[in-house]
Amino acid sequence: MKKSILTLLIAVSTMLGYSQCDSLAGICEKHITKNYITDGQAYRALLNGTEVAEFKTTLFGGNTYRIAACSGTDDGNLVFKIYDQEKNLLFSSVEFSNTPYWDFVIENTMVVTIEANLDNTRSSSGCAVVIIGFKR
Amino acid sequence: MKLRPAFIGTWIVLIALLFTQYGCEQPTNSNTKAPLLDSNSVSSAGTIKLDGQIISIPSPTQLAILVEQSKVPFRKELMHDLAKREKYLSEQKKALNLGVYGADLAYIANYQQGQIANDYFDAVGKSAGDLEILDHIDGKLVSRISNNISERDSVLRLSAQFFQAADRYLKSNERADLAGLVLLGGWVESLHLAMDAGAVNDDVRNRIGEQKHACESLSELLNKFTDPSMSDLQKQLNELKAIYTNFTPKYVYGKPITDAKEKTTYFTSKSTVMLSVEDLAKVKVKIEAIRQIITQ
Repeated sequence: MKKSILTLLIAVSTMLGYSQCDSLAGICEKHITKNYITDGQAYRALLNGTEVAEFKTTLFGGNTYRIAACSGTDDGNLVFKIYDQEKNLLFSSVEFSNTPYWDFVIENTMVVTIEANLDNTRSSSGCAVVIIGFKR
Repeated sequence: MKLRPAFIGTWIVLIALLFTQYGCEQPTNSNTKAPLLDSNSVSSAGTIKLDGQIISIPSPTQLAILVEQSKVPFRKELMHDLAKREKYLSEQKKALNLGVYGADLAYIANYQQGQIANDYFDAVGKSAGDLEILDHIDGKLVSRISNNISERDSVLRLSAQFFQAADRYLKSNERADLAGLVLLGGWVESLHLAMDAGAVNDDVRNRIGEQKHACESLSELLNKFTDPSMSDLQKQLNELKAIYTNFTPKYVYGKPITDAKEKTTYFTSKSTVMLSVEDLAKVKVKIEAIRQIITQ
């Protein structure tokens, strides 16, 4: 009995997480304004405490990108950072009051790593959503 | 069979939780913080994780824009046959070709071919329907694409939103494998459509050379499939990855410049990949082989 309840609880918490991510993606999309085209992908992860979600992406030279990062219904719950291939920190939203979006003008094509983690002073767990758009 | 009151109570609480989550609109209170989750919940929600990382593949639209700017003429015959759509039976093939038709749509939209765009958006919609995605995408978005099919910028922006919604739906429903195949199909088709321009335009050719990271990610993703029907595709993509290993860019770090007022940072690092015509030919042979497997 205990096992079935535990299984059920895990299944439900997973479903709640998925649902939460879906809702947040819509909220985060408002930062990708009409001048930008999304890359058609949904980057998200459920984070607890100090967990960090990261992914690599290619930013092509000659383009302007907008990166939006959200968690919860308020702006500023999620911190995002961008590193180059040599692990040099190129940008941290912490320096700009956890800004939910920022624009990046790319001179030459780069492979970067985007990291996202919760600002634990505002949130201890939640769904992290990152959206990438580029200017037409 | 009798159920204990405690067990029934647990069910009532869980069902109530589900109704709370799915039945209510997102709160708009600006003071609301991120909802708490069970500390034992999964650390990743429907994302494709490769060695702890989520994958990201360049949008086919970006390459399509560069192709159009290179002034090579539009060639309808390069695109995938619409009649083939109905012949795909497996979910994998349907997903791969949803990506293919999506990349074709981006190519068409850039050349402002209104009627053809309509036909290909129809194929995209039907492919999404075949995968039971369409019912879960906002009908207003679909209508807006249909109503603006001749408007290049609208089609590019709205169709990207369509694919993002599809990606989100698949990942939310434990079908992240199919989401990955949609990306693969779109990526391969976008390179196929760029080969003409790559032969005559240095910018397009070098952009094809800058796909190394995308190729590696897709190769790793595909290698996780255990279905024997994917083995040919795995082999070809691994061979393409080996070709791309020769195109490692030279990178020199440059300190970023930030304009906080404009919320803009300029990345000034230098990086170059120079693809020769001979290199392009090698990539082309492999891309065409992969596309043949996907679309056959």
